[in-house]
Amino acid sequence: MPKRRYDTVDKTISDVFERAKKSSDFTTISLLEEEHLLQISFYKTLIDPSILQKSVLPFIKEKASAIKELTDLTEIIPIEGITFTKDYHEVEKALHEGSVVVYFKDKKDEFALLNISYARLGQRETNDTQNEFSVLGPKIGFIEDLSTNLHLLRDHLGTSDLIFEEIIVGSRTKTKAVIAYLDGVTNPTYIDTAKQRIKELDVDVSFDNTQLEQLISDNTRTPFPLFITTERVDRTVGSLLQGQIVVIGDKSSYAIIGPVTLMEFFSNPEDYYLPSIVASFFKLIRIFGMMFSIFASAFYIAVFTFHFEVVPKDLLGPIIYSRANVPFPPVIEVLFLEITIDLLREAGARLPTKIGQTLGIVGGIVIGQATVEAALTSNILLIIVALAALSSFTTPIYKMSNAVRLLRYPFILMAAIWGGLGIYVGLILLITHLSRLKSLGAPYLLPLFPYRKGGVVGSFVRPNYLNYNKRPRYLKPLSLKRFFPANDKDPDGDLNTE
Amino acid sequence: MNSIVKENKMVSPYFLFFLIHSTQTGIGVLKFQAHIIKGAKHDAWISVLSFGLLLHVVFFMMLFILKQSSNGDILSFHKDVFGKLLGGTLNILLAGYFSLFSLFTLHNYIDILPIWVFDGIAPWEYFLLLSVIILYIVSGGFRVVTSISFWGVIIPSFLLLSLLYLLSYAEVSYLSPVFHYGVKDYLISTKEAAPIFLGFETVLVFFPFIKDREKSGKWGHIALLYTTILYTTITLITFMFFSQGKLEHLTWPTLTMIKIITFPFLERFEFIFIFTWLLVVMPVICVNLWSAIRSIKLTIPKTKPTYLLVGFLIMFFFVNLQIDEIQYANLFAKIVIYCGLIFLFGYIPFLFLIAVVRKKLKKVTQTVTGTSQ
Repeated sequence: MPKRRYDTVDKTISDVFERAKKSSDFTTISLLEEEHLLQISFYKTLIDPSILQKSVLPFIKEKASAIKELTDLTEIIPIEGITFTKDYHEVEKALHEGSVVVYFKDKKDEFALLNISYARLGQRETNDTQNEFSVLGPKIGFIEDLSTNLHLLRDHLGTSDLIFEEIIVGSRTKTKAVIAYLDGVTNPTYIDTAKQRIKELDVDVSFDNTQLEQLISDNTRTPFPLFITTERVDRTVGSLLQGQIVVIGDKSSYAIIGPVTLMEFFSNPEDYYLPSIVASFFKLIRIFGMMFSIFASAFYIAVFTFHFEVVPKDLLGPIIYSRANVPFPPVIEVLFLEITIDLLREAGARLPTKIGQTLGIVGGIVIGQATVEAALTSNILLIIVALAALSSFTTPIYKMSNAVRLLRYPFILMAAIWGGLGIYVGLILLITHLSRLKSLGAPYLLPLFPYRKGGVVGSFVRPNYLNYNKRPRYLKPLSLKRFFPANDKDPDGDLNTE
Repeated sequence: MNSIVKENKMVSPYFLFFLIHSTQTGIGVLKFQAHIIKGAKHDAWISVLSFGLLLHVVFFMMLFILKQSSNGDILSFHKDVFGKLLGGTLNILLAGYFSLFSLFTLHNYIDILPIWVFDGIAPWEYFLLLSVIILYIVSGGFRVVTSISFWGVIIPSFLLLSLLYLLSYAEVSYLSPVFHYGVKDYLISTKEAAPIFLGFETVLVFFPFIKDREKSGKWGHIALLYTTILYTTITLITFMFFSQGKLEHLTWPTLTMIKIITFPFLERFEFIFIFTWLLVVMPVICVNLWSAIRSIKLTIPKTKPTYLLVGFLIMFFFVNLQIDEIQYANLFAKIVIYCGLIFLFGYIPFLFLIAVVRKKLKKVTQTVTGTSQ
């Protein structure tokens, strides 16, 4: 294995301390005794000073003479989890996690590590969902702290089947990631694949799970997200129950869910809080919105550049009236408006919330109205583009709605050059691309392609609670039933035979 | 040479339905009605039906041949029977036929576009556009080819609803009297109907990619039956829609029929129809091209499939430019169709006989060795 810089620099423990001393927040306290010089080193920016003052220093000072060996500390200090080590790598790691290191100055080969980190410092207090809204249901979301997130999961899903496995990501920061799954439900192949991918990954810093998701995804040359990244606890718990795995990262308010299928991106936890008929309608609306958003403006270009014959006679009047003064070909017109909308969206996302909202509304209305009056675009197109932009926001998962928004540009160009044929060529390319994609090794278009029994209807509508107790077969769960109601027709058919 | 198919490259048995059905439905569906009336006139639908049913026999023979071969495809059967050199030559000839069929379908689709949809774009431009998709699909391997034949059946199936729309214009009396013509007339119609059923010969090459081969034969038969029923229905509706005199003068009766459909928001439905038809022809082109490439790859060692694919597309491009003239196009069509017919009804029975004899011989040698021991 090739040597890496951060492995080789420190030869001895003194090197570790020497280098740490260059930072002004690294502190070493010396406690002078008759025989030994006891030293305590820590980063004061990472530890909780009150614990140090109240529970560590007084006890050491009081019974300093009793300390002959480092192991005596366990009896003196009323803090649990004191560990002893001789490995200076471990010392360095512990220092960065907010531990204090206690050692004798003249015997620098054994160290006691006391974890008194101030983990909650700098964490936000509120954990409302910021980006995935719902009217009904709990609004609890993850925050940028691993232990809080794990607490939330364990709290919501109180079963010993829920397994957390910790893996270290990022060879410089050594960020923790935790793979969560339901033992005896989730297919072990997915767990192994995810574990292996995260372990084999080498990246210096893992900033966020949304980044980790791309690093472990099956195909990076695609606009489509191959994992769901969500901040909603209820969605995560639901996925765990279905037999999917969840990756929670430290310093990240997003959980990764995998393996996922394309259709899952259009379902929303809120669907389960509404009557199934209503929720199914909303879900269909979202799927329609996705298609409309991709194809609407391309369709407009194809029709008005090449195939004006397809417009019925009665509709032709209003269209001619609206387009009569527009000096540009349809493609320029469409690109102008589409880019305007995307500028507004991007500006809205970057600007501070209050200004952003105002500017978005004012900008949208004023610019839209003015472009039509200046005859830069037709007002029919303005309706289409605005609707397409609106419908792309119906997709609950942010990454997917971004992919949908991006996809319409290739279709616009194809339609501008080849008309309807271009749209269909694009469609075939899109379908082929989607058929090639995989999420953790499971085909992305499941259960439609390859077709799996009992999943097709469920991916377009929200299943009724009467037949809700089955997990989707295409996830290959080890046990197929979630629970066994009294009216269960086939209470024994629990194992997934496919 | 890796001729045994790995498990993870295989597809489920039911995909055989999509593969066979989608390779059969091609460009011929848009215009066959005008040809088949040459013999039995308004009774020609009987020829379509009977030809379709006859194919089950051919398919049965194919499955038998495949069962007797060492790797489950015709390529290994050729080598088993005819030796490496002659068998290899036959494989290359087979590849030639598949690639011709692929080009034939592509050419015919490109032919329709300027006439029905939009003029002003040169055929070679269409060709370049379509070859991008072909390249993307075929280079993805058999699973991706299967995916396009799956979607190529599922998505265009909404077009079947247009047949319901047409039913309201149907005139049932055009069909009577039934069984009005002589056997010879029906045979002429049958010969004219044959091209629309061609294409499923590729099963001889891709069959090893189907999981659970023993049981998957039924999906093939279901696919053939579905195609036959579909074609018979389309023929019947066309015959009830047009009078015989009118039908003679039409080149694309299906499209002419579809033209009558209008919606409040959409006139000229045939535009949508023709574009959606791209999804119908794509599986034919891709499966045939894939089969041609596989035939060559397994025959000549150390050939790179990607280079073969690009080579085929470049060749197609130049040939497609040459057959722009109508007489060449007609000649080309004739060659492809006769090749297909000879292949299905001459060569396959021939191979079937060989397979039967070989099986018998094997049994004899087995019993001989069994008794001598």
